[in-house]
Amino acid sequence: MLQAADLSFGYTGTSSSLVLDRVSVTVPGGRVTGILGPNGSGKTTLLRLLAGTLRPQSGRVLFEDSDLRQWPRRRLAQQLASVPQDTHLAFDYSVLDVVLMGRYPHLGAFQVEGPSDLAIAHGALRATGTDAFADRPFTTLSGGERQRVVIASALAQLATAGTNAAGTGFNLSDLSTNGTLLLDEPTAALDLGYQLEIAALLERLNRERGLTMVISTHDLAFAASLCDDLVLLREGRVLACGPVDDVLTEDTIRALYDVEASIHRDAASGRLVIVPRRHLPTA
Amino acid sequence: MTSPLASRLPFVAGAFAALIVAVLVAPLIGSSSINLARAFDASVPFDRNVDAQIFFIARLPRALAAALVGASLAAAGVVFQALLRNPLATPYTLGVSTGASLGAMLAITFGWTLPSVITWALPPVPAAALAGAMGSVLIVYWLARARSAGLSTTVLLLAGVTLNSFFSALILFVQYIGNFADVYRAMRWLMGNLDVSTYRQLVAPLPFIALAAVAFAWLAKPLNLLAAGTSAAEARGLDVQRAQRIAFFSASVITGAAVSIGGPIGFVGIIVPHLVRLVAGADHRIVLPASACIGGAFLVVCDVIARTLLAPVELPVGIVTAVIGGPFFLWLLIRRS
Repeated sequence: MLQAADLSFGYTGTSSSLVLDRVSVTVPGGRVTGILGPNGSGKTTLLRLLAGTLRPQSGRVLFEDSDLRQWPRRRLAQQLASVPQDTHLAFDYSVLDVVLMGRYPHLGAFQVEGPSDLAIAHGALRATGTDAFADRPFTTLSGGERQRVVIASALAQLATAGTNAAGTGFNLSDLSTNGTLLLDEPTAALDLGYQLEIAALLERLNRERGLTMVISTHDLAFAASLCDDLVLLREGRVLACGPVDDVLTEDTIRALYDVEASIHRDAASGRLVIVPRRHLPTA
Repeated sequence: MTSPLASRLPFVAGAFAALIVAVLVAPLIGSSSINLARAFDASVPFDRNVDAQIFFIARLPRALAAALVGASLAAAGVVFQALLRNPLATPYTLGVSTGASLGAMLAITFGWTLPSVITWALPPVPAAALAGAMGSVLIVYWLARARSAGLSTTVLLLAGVTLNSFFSALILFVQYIGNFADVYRAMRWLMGNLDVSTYRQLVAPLPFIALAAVAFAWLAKPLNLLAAGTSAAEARGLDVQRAQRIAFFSASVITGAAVSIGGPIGFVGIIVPHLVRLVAGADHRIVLPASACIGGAFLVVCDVIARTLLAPVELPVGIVTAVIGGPFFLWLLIRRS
């Protein structure tokens, strides 16, 4: 369980320019929580605060009931992994190198990756459909391919070593059960096919292994199909939060994006379908 | 399933072998040619073995100095490039070498002297160079810390570049007021020279280099994580601020030590890391040791060229590294794209 209590944060440090203003969010273990909001509403900042890579000016983040600041870095990284919006590497690492970086918190300062780490890395590559370019330079991949490799790296980071023999491959069962994955617009750079594939992968990781996820996205259909709960963020404040069916209404979409939309349930799939009608002039 | 790390180890072994061969062969070349087998022939007493005397007393210190300086500059280049996430960074980007040069200029122009206890291991000019390097390191660090809690790489770069031009102006000023003979000596020092004739000259810089080498061994993995950015590194469990601090200080200290031995020798710190990355990938656990070995071997070879090309006149080795390194680097760039 990941809890944010009264988080405030501003990049310049003055209270007039707060990016997040007393935000409280609860991410229940084993569930998928989506963060929706217009550009600049503070989604990425909230994810970074939840990951502990930004420190709040006030308020605190609790992970498994203890303050993030009390967690030893490596122990935390073994259970809490992040997939940033975009990854730029300063040098030409291979795809396999990048996935193996996920094993860092599991190894001692001078320890090198062993056979089990390699098996986990290859399994994570297979799970994300990126094993075909394991040896290619990361920088030569397309945006979507890069995104899937970074997800593979995060899976390798959350996997517990030693549960399977070398060479037998990686199973989703190797993931530590209380792992939490924070994803910042994971499908923004992907085409329709890969969007569905990533959504299916994330859903499988959640349903089969109880992986907790927090996902920021602009894609309402993606959020409606994958998430259990939603947090609506506008101008650094929580507009609404709760189960998808309660939160995702025509009223909240108008309040969130200034967009008039109609929502109905697709009979075939049972999913919510959001049809945007028009952008309303801001009051 | 072999690990990518293991499959690249032979490259490091090859680089190390190249360094050993370079250090052993370089002393054989010179005005009087000697024989390696005879130099190591233990059956002849040392005081009657001319080959051994030339090898161990006259030429080996210089070859070792070249190896040490080349290895230090190449490794420091790797660390600075990773710390600043900028492949164009060099050991001199943050002002360490201009600080050292200013120190050396002052010592030459004002004829500073030191107590003989110190000059036994560290003559005034290298001592002043070392002090200048450390001074500029502290100034840049203080500036980079002033703006934020962590080390801001943007501020580091800007502070370094500004300090570089500020110190360069001071160097010009010192030269302007100096007399002709001193300015001539100062210019020679700035060109980079490995005029090392005794092992003693290596004693003082050695602890700095050794200390940095230990830090580099620890840094190899953290530098890999930093390549993806500070927040990605932090999310993988790295103490980013500590890693950045250790990288900054160790790379600066080893650069200062290298410059105090040989002056600001250029190009080794940028061309060697690039060459190694091109061949062996980006993993710093490979790139760091391989660059150190190849940097050492490269400078030993350049120094042999510097002292034999126009013999008996000796060229400053800094000119040789730039003349070989510049075109080679451009060729590398063109070939790649």
